[in-house]
Amino acid sequence: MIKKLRFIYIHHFKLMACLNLSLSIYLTYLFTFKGFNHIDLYEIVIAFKLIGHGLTLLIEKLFFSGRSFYYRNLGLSYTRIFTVFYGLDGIVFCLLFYLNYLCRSFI
Amino acid sequence: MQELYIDSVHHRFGDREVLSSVFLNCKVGEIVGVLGRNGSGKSTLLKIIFGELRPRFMHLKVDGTVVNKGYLTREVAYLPQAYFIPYYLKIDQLIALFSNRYREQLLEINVVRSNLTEKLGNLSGGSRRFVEALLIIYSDAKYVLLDEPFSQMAPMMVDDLKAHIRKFSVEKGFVITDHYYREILDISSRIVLIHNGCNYAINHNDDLIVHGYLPD
Repeated sequence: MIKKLRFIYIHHFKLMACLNLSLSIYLTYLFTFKGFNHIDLYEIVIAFKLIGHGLTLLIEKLFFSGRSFYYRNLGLSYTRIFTVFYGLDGIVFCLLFYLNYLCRSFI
Repeated sequence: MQELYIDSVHHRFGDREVLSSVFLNCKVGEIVGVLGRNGSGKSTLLKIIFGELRPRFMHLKVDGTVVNKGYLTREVAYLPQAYFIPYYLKIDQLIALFSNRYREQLLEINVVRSNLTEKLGNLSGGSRRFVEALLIIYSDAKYVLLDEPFSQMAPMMVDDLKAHIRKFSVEKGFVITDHYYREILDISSRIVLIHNGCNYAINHNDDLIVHGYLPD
């Protein structure tokens, strides 16, 4: 199952992954620039991340809905594909954020 | 019990009731042919079993376990009417993805072996359809739903595909629907006709005339 998910992300989600990663990097940059003690910034992060994830789902459903039989024949539902994708994106963002926090603390 | 079983299927598109109390079962070792006129609900029934469509009501069991969507059990594979695999994927990648148990046998097939590193989109229409059908038949799923598998194929390829289906008919259950009814009659161990939203068991070819599927 992990092999199938990895194949799907590598071959069909490159653009989506790049978009979400760019958003994560930009949001991390905001923290570097403004500091970590702004509550508004955390709210912005949640809002932008939700928008990013919503757009990802919308693009897939609008333009690539023909792939649904392909995913399902591999035993994968959209729920699983997107839950894992969002989870990985969240982990990457948290890692970037933490790395950024550590860098700023030491500098 | 090794059986794909669905009953009490009710489904409507808008005001039109397509399926009403439809029942279908397919045991491992059986090839069930589903016939019906255009718009009778054959493909709808297969999509409901697979989990692509949500009906108003149904009762689906795979090997005795009640499930909502066939594909989530990974025991049900479905070949849709149109191409379903992205054209830019290579055949060797797809074999690794779809087939574990029967991979070696799949690699021995001529059209697969000779186009192993080709992208699916580079094949002719018939060959692409044939390869997609093979990937579904040689997948690890125990129940295979084939929706118009013979369309777009040359007669030689149709015979080839029938041979592959027959080869697996001992260890898998097949539900096949197509408008090439002679091929369906030839390959199936049992025929079901969907007409007016209900299903009828067909015991003799004349039953198809009685139910209005074939002309007098």
